[in-house]
Amino acid sequence: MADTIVEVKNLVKRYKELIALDNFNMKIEKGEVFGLLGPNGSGKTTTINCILSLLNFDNGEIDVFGEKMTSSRYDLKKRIGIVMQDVAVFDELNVEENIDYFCGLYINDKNKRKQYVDEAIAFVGLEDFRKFKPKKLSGGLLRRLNIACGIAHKPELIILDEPTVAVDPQSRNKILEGITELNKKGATIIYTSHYMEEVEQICTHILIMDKGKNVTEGTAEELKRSIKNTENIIVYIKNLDDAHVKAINNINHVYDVSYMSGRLEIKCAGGRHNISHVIDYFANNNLDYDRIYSELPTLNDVFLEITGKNLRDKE
Amino acid sequence: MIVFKSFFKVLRNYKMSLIMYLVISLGVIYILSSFNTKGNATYYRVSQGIAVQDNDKSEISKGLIEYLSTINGIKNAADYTDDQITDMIYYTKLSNRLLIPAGFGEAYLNGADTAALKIESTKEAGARMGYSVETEIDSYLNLLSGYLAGGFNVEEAQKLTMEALADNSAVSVVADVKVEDDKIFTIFQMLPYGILTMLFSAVLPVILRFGSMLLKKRSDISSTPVLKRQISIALAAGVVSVFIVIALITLASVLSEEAFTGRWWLIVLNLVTLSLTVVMLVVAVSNLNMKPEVSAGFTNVVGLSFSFLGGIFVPIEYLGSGAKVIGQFLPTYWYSEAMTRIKTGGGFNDILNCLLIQLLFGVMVMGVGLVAGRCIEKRTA
Repeated sequence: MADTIVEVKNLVKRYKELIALDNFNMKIEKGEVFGLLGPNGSGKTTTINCILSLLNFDNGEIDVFGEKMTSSRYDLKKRIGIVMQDVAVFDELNVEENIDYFCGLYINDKNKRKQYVDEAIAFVGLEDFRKFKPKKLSGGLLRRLNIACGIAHKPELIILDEPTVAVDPQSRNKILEGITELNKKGATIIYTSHYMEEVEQICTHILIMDKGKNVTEGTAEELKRSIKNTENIIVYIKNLDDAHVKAINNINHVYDVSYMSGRLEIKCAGGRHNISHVIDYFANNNLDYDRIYSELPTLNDVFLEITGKNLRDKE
Repeated sequence: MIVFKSFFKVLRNYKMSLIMYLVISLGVIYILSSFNTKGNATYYRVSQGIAVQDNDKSEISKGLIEYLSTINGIKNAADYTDDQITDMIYYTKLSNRLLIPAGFGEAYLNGADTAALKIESTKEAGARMGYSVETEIDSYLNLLSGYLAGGFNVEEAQKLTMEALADNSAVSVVADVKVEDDKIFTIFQMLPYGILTMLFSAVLPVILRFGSMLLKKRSDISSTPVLKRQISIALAAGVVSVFIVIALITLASVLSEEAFTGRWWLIVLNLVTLSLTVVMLVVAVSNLNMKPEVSAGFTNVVGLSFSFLGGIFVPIEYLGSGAKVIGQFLPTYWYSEAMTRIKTGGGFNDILNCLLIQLLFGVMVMGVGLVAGRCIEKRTA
């Protein structure tokens, strides 16, 4: 039986009139890369802050490593690493000094700390930038420094709150590889992000929350199977009139069609050979298209179907 | 320990500010102290305007007025209204209004400890010129009583006193005793500016950096308790402050060529009290959750305003009435006041209230800062 690392039971957090968390539940097992997803304002960061005892909550329970988490449980905090959404480092200290400082908040032994700092620098690939101050680092390197500060003390539970915001693809890839490696070494990861492809790539279990409540959870495949959408057909075609759009919507198994800027997106629910039916429609109506292809639904489709397409306020 | 050590690593980034304000402070001290150098300096006795109302008309009171007239311009108080005299004192045309009570001479000769023996002196609060006249009166009466006790009659004693005081002032000029006396006061008078600017430009930004929202939040998550971190920061800030104060005291003592004398200890006590108050002020401001970059602006505003309004750069008596009123709410004003009292021979008891007012200011400001900091933290949580 797997060990439970974090268990959140019926968590309620209110900000005056606003209910940020409404009987929220979450269970994270040892060795998981747990993806916590939700639109802006859904309560992700509030949940993390409550787990870390940075915020008091109105009701519910939070257990970390099987024990009740409070702000004075420094023994539990020692086993947790956090990589915050905003880079939190000293502008006045160089890379090595920054990592040493944050590692030093957990590890007193100087020799051990030096070894951990060296390992963290190597892990995030900042060997050539040891003496650089944060202002001299690019966005990607800065994010890597932020990660190194969070993981240098070798925590068992690592919380990464949108660690790849505003990072180029190369750095993002390096960060994602690093997270997978940390997980392989035994760390349990809580990962929040708005980049669905990242979550799909690294998370072994995903929970989607909205308006402070659990909406659904499971593996990426389980979530994809749980939604209505089974296939997306994309067609690049110029000057398609509304009558054709309506007609395509009536093709068998098609339940939603959108056309914008020469891109036609057809969503299908169930059925087989749906793309053949669409091609037949174009052939029968003498419509020329540039390109047509079919793709399986992504986590992004799951997310949008579950949480809707309306814009949300920032959390 | 890591927080304590890192404080100094962060502080390294502000070493240029420290050096800059140290150089400025030393420059100001050097320029001002060069006006009081030993050697060929010329000493001018400053003549004050005094309004005298002699209700006694005795030989003693007349002799005293005659002596004062050799140094100062004497006006008959009866020729002016109270308002006119108040205005003249305010505009420094007069330094004092003296009221010699009836029976003064008799009480003086009999050695009686009565109200009649007390000359009422009205002057501008904190004005050095006012104290100077009172010192002249004390000198005359003390010397006169010595001659009378020695068996001289009043007329002889008055004559000898006048001669002696004239001789003493001549000796003072030749020996430059008075010039030397002023040097330590001139130098130490400037130190509050150095302490204010150095602590605000170097210690404040480091504390603000450690307390910045993101880093504080990040550190709160760690396994190092908040109290332990705060104690480390306070200790490190204390060490830096003590170092700065000791360095400035040492430099000032070397420049003034005076140390470990009675008045030196009083001056140092006054400076240490002010430094403690400035530290409390820094703590108060550090609670306001500002960016470290604003400390440069704060340094200039606090350094200059406290120095000008507190009589550090300009003697208090030269300030306008509005500035004086504001100045009384600043610790530097009471630092200057204590310096004046020490200069005119005051002891520990004479400056105690000045020291307490400075500390009270610090405690109050720190209290307000801590409460404001809590409110800001709650609002931003």
